[in-house]
Amino acid sequence: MREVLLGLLHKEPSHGYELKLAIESLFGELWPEVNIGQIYQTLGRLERAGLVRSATVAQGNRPDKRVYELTPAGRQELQRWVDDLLPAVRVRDTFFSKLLVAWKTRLADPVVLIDRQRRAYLRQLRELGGLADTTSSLIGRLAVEAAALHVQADLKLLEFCEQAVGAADTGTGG
Amino acid sequence: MGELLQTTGLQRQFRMGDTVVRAVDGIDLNVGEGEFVSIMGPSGCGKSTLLYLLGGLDRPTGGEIHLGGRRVDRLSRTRWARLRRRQIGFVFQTFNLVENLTVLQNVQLQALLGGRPRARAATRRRALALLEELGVGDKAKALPAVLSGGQRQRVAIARALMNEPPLLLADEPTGNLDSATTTDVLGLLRRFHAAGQTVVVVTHDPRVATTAGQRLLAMRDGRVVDDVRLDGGTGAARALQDLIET
Repeated sequence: MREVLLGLLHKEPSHGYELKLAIESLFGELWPEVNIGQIYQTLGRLERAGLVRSATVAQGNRPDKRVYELTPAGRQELQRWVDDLLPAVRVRDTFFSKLLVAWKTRLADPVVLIDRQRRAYLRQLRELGGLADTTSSLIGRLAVEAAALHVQADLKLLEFCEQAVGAADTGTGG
Repeated sequence: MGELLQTTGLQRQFRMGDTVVRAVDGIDLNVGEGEFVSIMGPSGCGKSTLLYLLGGLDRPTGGEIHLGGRRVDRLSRTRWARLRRRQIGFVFQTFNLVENLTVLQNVQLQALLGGRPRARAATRRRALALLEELGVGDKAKALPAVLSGGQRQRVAIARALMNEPPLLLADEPTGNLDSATTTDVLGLLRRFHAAGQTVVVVTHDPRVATTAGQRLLAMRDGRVVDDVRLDGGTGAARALQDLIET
């Protein structure tokens, strides 16, 4: 939310409701009904941090509106966010940790855990497929694609876990 | 919803020297009328062999197959072949079109081989209508050689559906297609399914398996190890929003 708002204000100074509409048009179905309260809360935080400033603009017979714009510090912060590289590798996969603990402590049958998790991933992949069909915005399609690729990688990891568990079982159980 | 296809204890073993390979190792399967089932598994798990058994392109070494309530695994080769041409449409990864026949002739050939007797004009009309519906109506007079992969697979689907078979089987139907064409072909299969067609698709691609079917069978080493219903929300959409919002 923070960086999205900074980015939109980089484009043009805006008031809260305009930002809400801009987010909705940018993210489409992926982010319907943006919470206006959350926008004002975040703007307040950004203002206290000196990243945006606001001015009250009178509008005749309608209530005054508060227009926000980026400060130089905000511009810098935004640039840093854009330039930063994302952490390269997800080392600690949560399912993998769960599987290891459950397996080694005999808390649960690893094969059952793997099967259940596979079903969940497959259903997710199906839902993402449906979402891809109904998502028209480019950014939305990219987000769906990213999520689907992650799920596919998770499915591959499960296959690997399954083989590892199988090999260990035949190794010790004989 | 009635049962269209049933197998019990289905087996296919191959002998390779001294070892026996159990490609399909005791599969009990029920496919209801109007279902769309994906069969998924790593290469060598026996999924294509299973599909070939179901379609009568290969013979089981044990177990039973019932199609439309009738036991078919004991039929003679010729009777099975005749039944198959009317009851089952097949779509292959490599399209398998006859290269020296036109697109239209490829589709009409299916009717000649085993369809219900129909006047020549009616056969031609149905073939053209199918090609039109599949978006390749303008290619009717072309030879397969000039078509793209996606167009070839559309023609192959028209051919498979020519005799209005109750069951459509597809073996890696998108295996030779790029991702955009894959989406198109899956969309077409889903459209025919929505109109009532029973479909069984074999694929190694989880994405194809989950977008296509409502039900997914996972295979390993000749056996079905899981039978998953895919309908119902998972919160994936919600999770995606949360991801962006944080």
